[in-house]
Amino acid sequence: MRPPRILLVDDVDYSRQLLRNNIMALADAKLLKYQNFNFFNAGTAADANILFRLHQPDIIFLDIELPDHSGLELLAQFKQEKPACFVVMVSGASTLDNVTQSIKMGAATFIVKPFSGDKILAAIRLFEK
Amino acid sequence: MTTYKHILIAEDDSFLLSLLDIQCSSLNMETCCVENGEQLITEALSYQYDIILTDIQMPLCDGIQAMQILRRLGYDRPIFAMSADSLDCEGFDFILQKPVDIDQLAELFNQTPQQQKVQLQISSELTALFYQNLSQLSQDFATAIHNRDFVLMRQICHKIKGGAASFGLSILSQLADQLQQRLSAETLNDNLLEEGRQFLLVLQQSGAKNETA
Repeated sequence: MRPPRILLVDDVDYSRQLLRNNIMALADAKLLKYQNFNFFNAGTAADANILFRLHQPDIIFLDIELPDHSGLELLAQFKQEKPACFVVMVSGASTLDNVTQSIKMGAATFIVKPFSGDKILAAIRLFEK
Repeated sequence: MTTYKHILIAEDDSFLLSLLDIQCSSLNMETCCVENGEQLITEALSYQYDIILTDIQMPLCDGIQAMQILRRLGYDRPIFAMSADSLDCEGFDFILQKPVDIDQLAELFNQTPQQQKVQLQISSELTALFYQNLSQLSQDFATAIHNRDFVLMRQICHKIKGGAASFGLSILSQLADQLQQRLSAETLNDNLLEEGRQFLLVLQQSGAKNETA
């Protein structure tokens, strides 16, 4: 079974690291179907675009507020280029607008920061369904 | 040690909400109360709750819309509705007739399993990276205040709000949230700048505490 490719898009280094560490901790604790994942990191929308085309990720954790672009616009673009990609929108503020816009544009789910083990587990398990 | 099941209750009538809060607490439930569908969605997505109990008619977003949004986002934990009218709606695990019968509620709670809780893993390297970032943000925030750059102040608050709570700095996260909201809603003024200075002190103290720890 090929390890799923995960693209982490967030301009904060430790947020990406925290996600990666916790996804691997869930896999190590045998709480996930997959035992391994390949990770790619992007701190800007421009980097995310390059990595998306290069690696065709299966899962994308996409922060809604990026320094150079809106995460929502990037979501629309990713879904247009690869409709099957599983996008988890991440935001510090879950207004109803943000959530409904994300759903309309094809996001699979939505994580409200701060991260928790339960939120990350729920998102990856949804992908595995 | 007794572990309580966690319930999220959404009801816009403050009297009924208090009553449900008391009733659920008396059934050994740990409660969280919200007054509209938007708050319900935000809270539910924290994945802290074993059960959601929601009213149907609520402001901003009603109970049915909130449930449908949560289900669309893959939320698969039990959601119970309360309605004074007869209701036929897919997505709820159970629909309780209003006024809610406490014995029926107790039976539903007993039948609902407690969800597994997963702790967030934070390594010492990650904590060091966070504090390094916080120190930089603190310097950037001081510069933003000096330059009266409200946009940069708001962006920094946003970053701190999202990250600080994961590293045990919940109060800093809440203060950042409050200031960010004011910076988004108001135009440049001296009061806000003063609040920014006070926030900077808390920010610097939060970073300093780590250095002395």
